[in-house]
Amino acid sequence: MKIPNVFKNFYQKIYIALSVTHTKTDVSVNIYNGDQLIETKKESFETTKINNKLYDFVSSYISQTPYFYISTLNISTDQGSISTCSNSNIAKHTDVGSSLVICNEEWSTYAQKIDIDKLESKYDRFGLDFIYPSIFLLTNIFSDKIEIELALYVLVQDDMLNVSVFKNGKLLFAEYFVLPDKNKKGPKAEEEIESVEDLFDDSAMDDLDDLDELDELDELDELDGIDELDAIDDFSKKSDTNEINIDSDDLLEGFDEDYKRFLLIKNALEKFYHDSEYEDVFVEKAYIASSSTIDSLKSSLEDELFLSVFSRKIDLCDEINKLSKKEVDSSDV
Amino acid sequence: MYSFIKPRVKKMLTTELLMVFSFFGITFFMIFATYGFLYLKTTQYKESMLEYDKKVISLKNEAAIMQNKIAYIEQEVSQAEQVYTKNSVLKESIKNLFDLIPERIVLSKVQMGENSLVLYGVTPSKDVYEFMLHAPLRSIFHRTYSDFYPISGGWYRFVSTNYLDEEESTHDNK
Repeated sequence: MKIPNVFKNFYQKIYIALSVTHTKTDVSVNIYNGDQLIETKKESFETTKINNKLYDFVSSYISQTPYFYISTLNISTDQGSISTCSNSNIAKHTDVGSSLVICNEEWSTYAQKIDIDKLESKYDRFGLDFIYPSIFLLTNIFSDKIEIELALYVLVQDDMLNVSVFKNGKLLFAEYFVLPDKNKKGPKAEEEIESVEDLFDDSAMDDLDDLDELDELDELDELDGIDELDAIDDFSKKSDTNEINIDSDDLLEGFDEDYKRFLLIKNALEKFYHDSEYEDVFVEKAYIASSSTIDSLKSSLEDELFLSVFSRKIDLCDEINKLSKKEVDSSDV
Repeated sequence: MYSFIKPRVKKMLTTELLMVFSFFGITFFMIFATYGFLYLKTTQYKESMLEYDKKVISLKNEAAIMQNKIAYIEQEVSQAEQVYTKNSVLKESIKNLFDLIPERIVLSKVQMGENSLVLYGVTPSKDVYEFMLHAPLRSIFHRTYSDFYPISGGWYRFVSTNYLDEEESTHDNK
């Protein structure tokens, strides 16, 4: 029996967002009374699993109301987005049988079932209500721009990067990168990357062992502008998702985080321009959503790729909660 | 839809609320059950009272009927006693009457009224009648009349009519 909304309004709704990086878990709690945000609480825990502190913190809120929604992002490497909802096209990028696909009108995003199951079992002490792909976060943040502009849209997280190109609301291109843990080095660190929370799919790691193509990143340093991107061979046509392994040849070691991101964005753009799979358009604008300061990334993109860059400072957890609220309000769950 | 998973079904009633509702539910149930029990019993008592009232009325009616029957029987007993008394008196009167008749006078017929006595018979002579029968009759009755008819052998058929006056008779009874 469906509970009438009038009774639901007696309860507060609590949205809890978990944002996990390689070293910590950020938690943001938004408490709503009706549509009014009445309290926000943020806490950062130096763990990537559920320790007692994290559990107690979350439990203290979810015990207040039956209407709580816990959400997080899918941070597994094996995910991506493609510009169609056709099953045959999706099958070119992933095994449809073992994937979860969400079609958003004209484009779709996918993730591996096993990764989602792992995420759910990881948080089974208090459970999860929503697991979002990062691209929906990006489209939600730039919903006012995506519908009307052709531009590069980038979501920057500490260890994650989502690069997408939208043209009038239509997805043309998307890449998802997971940056390696900057605090881990050497083979031991690589083992730990595998073991930490088991988030990274083994098969994905195997693919990334073959880093011959990444040698060409050296050439990126010598580029003066976007025009010279043509001079570089195809960087990669393997996957929509990439994890750069710095342990293999320390390719990106020594660069600051922003420059690593710049290189990845440049790489993604190069792929977009040269791969015939994608529509042949030229991107002049870039919209970047980031929770940290990205001045050097912005200037790099402007100076070296001649993009008009507009950045938005965001709180990732808050954005996840906004998406959850939108989801809850629209579906009335 | 933005999420790879669907949110868990949210139950409006938390465990604490369920406990509270259970507590109040049980409390109200007990109150209503007690009320229902008492209401049922009250109704049963009322019905019993009505039945007893009906029984009381019925018994009263029966008692009245019995009283009437008792009164009727008492009346019959009284009447029987009166008849018995009257018969006794009559028997005694007849016995007295026959005691009164001398052996030489023969009665052929006796008519006894409420306040009268008519004797038919034969007497050997008027004097026998006069002295032996008429004298005691006069002492008993207020008025006495005698008629004689001569028959064969010198005997006389007589008719003696005797009356008790009403007022004096009543006074005598008193």
